[in-house]
Amino acid sequence: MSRLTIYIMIYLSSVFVASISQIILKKSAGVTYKSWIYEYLNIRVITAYGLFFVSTLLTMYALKVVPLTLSTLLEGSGYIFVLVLGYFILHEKMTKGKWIGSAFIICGILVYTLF
Amino acid sequence: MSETSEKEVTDSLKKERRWPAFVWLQVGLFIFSLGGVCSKMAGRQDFLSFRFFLFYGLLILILFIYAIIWQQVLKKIPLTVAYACKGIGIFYGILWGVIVFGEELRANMLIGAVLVLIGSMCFLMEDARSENKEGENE
Repeated sequence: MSRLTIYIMIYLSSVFVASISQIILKKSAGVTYKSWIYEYLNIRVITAYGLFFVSTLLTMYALKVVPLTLSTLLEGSGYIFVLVLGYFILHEKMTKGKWIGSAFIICGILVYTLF
Repeated sequence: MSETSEKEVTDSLKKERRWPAFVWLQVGLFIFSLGGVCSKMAGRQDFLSFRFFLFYGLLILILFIYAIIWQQVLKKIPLTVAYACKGIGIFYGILWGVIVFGEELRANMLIGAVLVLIGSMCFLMEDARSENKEGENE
């Protein structure tokens, strides 16, 4: 496996961690709290922001090798991660349009990296 | 004044008030794109060195400013529309990669970027469609 491939994997895992963070925030948004302060100071929101922080560190590490021109394309994988996580955790629907969107995103990343 | 023309006037007023939000959104997306530059710069420094903290600190500052602008903009612009505008970020990444870091630019990169952009638009269109359906059901 080339060095670039390994760092691309690290970048994708960073996007994955950020997607988990997003799902946790979404779950937390549906909960009603006693006071507005608990909307921020609760285990879910703190975990979500902690994961977001981990994601920024992973991104930074991956960018040592991953070109910036590729990074924004890799960010697109977030849509797919949120779709899959949303399906399994939030039991959201997977629609045909979203499958087509996922295929376009994967093709875009492959066209960039393989040619 | 008839009912329709009154509606037209209020609609046009709404549109008028929306454009500053679109300008702010673009400002926010531009600032956000610089976060990628800071992140890459920080990654190039020795871990925990002064320059590392400088660039990482700048990144966190940029994310903070962007979050504030994003929250404010969403009061005026629907979420799906705002997300659609975020697509421009793909091209900022390419722009800064080439200008700041001297990365090469090939045709396949642009084709890849367009494909990812189309893919993200598919997601947004689906979200907009399901929101409309929910609205109809209500």
